[in-house]
Amino acid sequence: MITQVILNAVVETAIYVIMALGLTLIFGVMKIPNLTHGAMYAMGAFIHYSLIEWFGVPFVPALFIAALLTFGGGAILERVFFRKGGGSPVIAIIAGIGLTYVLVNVITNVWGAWPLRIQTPFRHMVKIGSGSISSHNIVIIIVSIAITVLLYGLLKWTKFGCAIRAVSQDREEASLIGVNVNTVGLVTFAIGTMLASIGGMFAAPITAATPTMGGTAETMGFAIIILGGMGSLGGAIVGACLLGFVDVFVTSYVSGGWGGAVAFVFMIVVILIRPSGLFGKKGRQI
Amino acid sequence: MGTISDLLKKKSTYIFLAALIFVVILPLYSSGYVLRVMITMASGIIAAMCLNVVLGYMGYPSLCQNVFFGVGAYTMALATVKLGFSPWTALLLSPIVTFIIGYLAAIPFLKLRSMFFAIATLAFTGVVSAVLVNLPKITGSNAGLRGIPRLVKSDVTFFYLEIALILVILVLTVIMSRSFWGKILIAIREDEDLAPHFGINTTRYKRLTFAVTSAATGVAGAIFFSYQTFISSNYFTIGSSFTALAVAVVGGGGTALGPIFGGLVVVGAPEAFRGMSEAMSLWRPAFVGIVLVVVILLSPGGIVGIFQSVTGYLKKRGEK
Repeated sequence: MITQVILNAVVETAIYVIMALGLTLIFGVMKIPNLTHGAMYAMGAFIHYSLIEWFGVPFVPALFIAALLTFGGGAILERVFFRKGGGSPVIAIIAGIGLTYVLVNVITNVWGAWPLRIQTPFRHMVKIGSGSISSHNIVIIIVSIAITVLLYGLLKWTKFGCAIRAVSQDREEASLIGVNVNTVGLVTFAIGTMLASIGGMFAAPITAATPTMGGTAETMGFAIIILGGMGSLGGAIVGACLLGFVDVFVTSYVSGGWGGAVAFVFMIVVILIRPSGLFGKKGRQI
Repeated sequence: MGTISDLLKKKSTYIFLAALIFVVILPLYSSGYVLRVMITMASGIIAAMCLNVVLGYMGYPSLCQNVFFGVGAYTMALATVKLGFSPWTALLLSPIVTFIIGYLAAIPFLKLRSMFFAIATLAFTGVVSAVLVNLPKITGSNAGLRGIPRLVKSDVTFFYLEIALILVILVLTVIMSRSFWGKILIAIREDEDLAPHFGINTTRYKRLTFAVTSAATGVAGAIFFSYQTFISSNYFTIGSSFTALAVAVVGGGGTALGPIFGGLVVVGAPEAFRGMSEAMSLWRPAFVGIVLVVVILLSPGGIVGIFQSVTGYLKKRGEK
């Protein structure tokens, strides 16, 4: 039992890491909470579904096409809506709520409200000790690690990553030394949205895709990045581990419905003790 | 404060009275469906008016207004169905229970600011919604509780009850905004770190305001679900907590009349269109979403803000 629970928790953590990295990246650079994250999580899953079922694209290429499409979608969202908010968090929250209404409504009317199941080609089961894990879940863990490494590399060793870090530390100073703040915001938002949709695409074959699948995932994502310290990438990974394990352990040993609630209470307790989160620092954020 | 003769000279007094008479006469000539929409709208307006005090005057974007609506409603439902109280006794109980829960919630959450407050209250909504779903023996979970007794028999009286509550909250909001209390809330909104330097105990005012507005929302919840006679956890999901915020913001934050206009647009207009065509009922949430995005990005002052800038513009032209 315990091996199986740990394996489940690791898989859940991997999905949360993919999604929470996007959320924390957007927060770090733009200083706004992105409330369309959950809707784009669902959108990714549904675009992936239609590429496979309507256009006959195989599973893996469809992942890349859907990721590119949501990258564009994120860029549009930032350029048309979020940039106009002028960095005010309250305006961003309300605009995000409005956009979520629209996106979820579009998904419901195009694909229907019923759960859709996406067939994954990775159906092989692997035995580890007394537990077993499907190869789809192993792929999720690998992808999650790969994304973390790629993101770290991008931020650490590329010129553009350097610009992202500069903007996240001080927007005005960065624009003074010649960083195009708007482009950095646009690309960061697009990358973050793409990460949300990748999370959705990998979660959908496990949980089935529904228009509202993003709601809980998004709230969990916020809980994770608040817990880890908003804007901190390492904090997001640690937060995802903590909440993923709390969620799965409570779900397995107590009762199915309580996992999320206990995770939220855990987050509330942590921010009461440390409002800036576990790894949040003022000034330096990525 | 103006005397009655002062009030009689103002044009807005007559507009207000005309609107009031219109609202009182309207239900007598409307169908059951229209009445239902109006009652739903009125309860949405009450929740938004309470949120407006917290968001518009105090500057805290709360996303757990629906929780207090639900706590009031469940107090009503549990007290009458499970404990056998009369509905009017339960109506007295619900603001007390919501006040206590609101005050307890205020202690931790009001330490946070801006978006941290918003997201913590969102998580709070998630916790409460999980509690409602996971305690089927008490709350009835998704299947819900049936047979909540009605406070008054006819739907029209229910509508008047809600209008009366709206008027009371409206008057209280106006009095509050002109009083010392209102000034303190605005001071907190404008600069919370500076306010204590003037000897204001911000914590006490913040908590009390939050708890009092929660209690008023609880009363609205109790009345609405007594009208409905049925309650289930489906009404209190994470998503539903956004409606009150949408109403308050579209109407115009920090103005006493704002939430009423917001309610007409966000809750009322889509319902009115629903009868017209099939497509409108399908795209209703998208309509609300687009209105919300357009209003917040183009006119952060909401509908009242648009009114004010238009009348200001006309006045300027008149003077020339």
